[in-house]
Amino acid sequence: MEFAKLFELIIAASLINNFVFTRFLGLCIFFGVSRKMETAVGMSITFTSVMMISSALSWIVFNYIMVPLDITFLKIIIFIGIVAGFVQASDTVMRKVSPGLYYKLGIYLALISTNCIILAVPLINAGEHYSFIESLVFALGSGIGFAIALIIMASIREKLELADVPKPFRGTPIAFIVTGLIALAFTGFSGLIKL
Amino acid sequence: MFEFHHFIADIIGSIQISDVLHFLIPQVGVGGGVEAKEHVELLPLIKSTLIFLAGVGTVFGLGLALTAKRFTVQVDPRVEKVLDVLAHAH
Repeated sequence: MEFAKLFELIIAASLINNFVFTRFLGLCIFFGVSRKMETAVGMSITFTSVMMISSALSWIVFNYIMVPLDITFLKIIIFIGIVAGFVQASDTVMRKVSPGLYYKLGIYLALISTNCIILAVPLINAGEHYSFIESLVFALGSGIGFAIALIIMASIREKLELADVPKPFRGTPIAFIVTGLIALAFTGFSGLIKL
Repeated sequence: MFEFHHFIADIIGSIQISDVLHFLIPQVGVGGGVEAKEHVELLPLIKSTLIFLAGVGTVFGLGLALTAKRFTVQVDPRVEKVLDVLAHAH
C-alpha cells in the first residue's frame, strides 16, 4: 500500500469526513468532555488509542472468522462486544498496573465503550473492505479528527465562559450553536481530495 | 400432429418442488455475506452463528473473569467507612 493513499485516508477521515462536524456522530462525549481543555486532551488520547486497538481486533475477527463462516450480518453485535470487552479488560488491567494513568483516563474509558464513533469505525472498515493497515490508518485519522474537534471546541468554550452570552443561551445551547458554525466551516474541506 | 398432452407433461415434469420454493422464498442477498449470494443454506448458517456467538461469549467471559482475578485491586475497607463518615460534599 503506497504512502500517499494512506495519507489521503488520514486527511479524509480527520478533516473532510470529520466524525463530529460532518457525520455528526459521537456528540454525547463531544459535548460532555469539551468543557475543559485538560479533559478534552485526555479524552482524545484515550479515544484514539482505544479506537486503533479495537478496530484492529475487529478487523481480525471480521476477516478471519466472520467472512469465512459467512455470518457478516452479525457484525454490529460482535463489534459492540469486542469494544466493550476490550475496554473492560483494559480498565481492569490499567487499574492494577498503572493507577496514575487509571485515575487520569479511567473515567473516559467507561464513556468510550458506548460511543458511536468507536462502533462506526469498524463498521466502515468492514463495509469499505479496507486492508489491515488501511483500517488502522482510518482509525488513526478518525481519532485525530475527533481530537481536533474536541480541542477546537474546548478552547472556544473556555473563552465562552467569560463572554457575555444572553441568559437563555448559556451553557449547552451556545455550544450547539458554536458546533453548527464550526461544522459550516468544515464544509470548506469538502472536495479537497477525491478518493 | 402436435402432441399437446406430451407438451403439458414435459412442462409439469420439469417443474420441481425446489424451484417452487425458490420462487416463493426470495434467496438473493439473504445471509448478509460480503457479496450478495444466489443461494444460502439456512441450517448451517444458523449452526455456525450459534457456535460463533457461544464461542465469542465464552472467550470474552473467561478472559474478563481471568483478568479480573489476575489484576484484582485490594481496596481497604476502612477507606469506604471513613468516606461514609465524612460529609458527601466532594
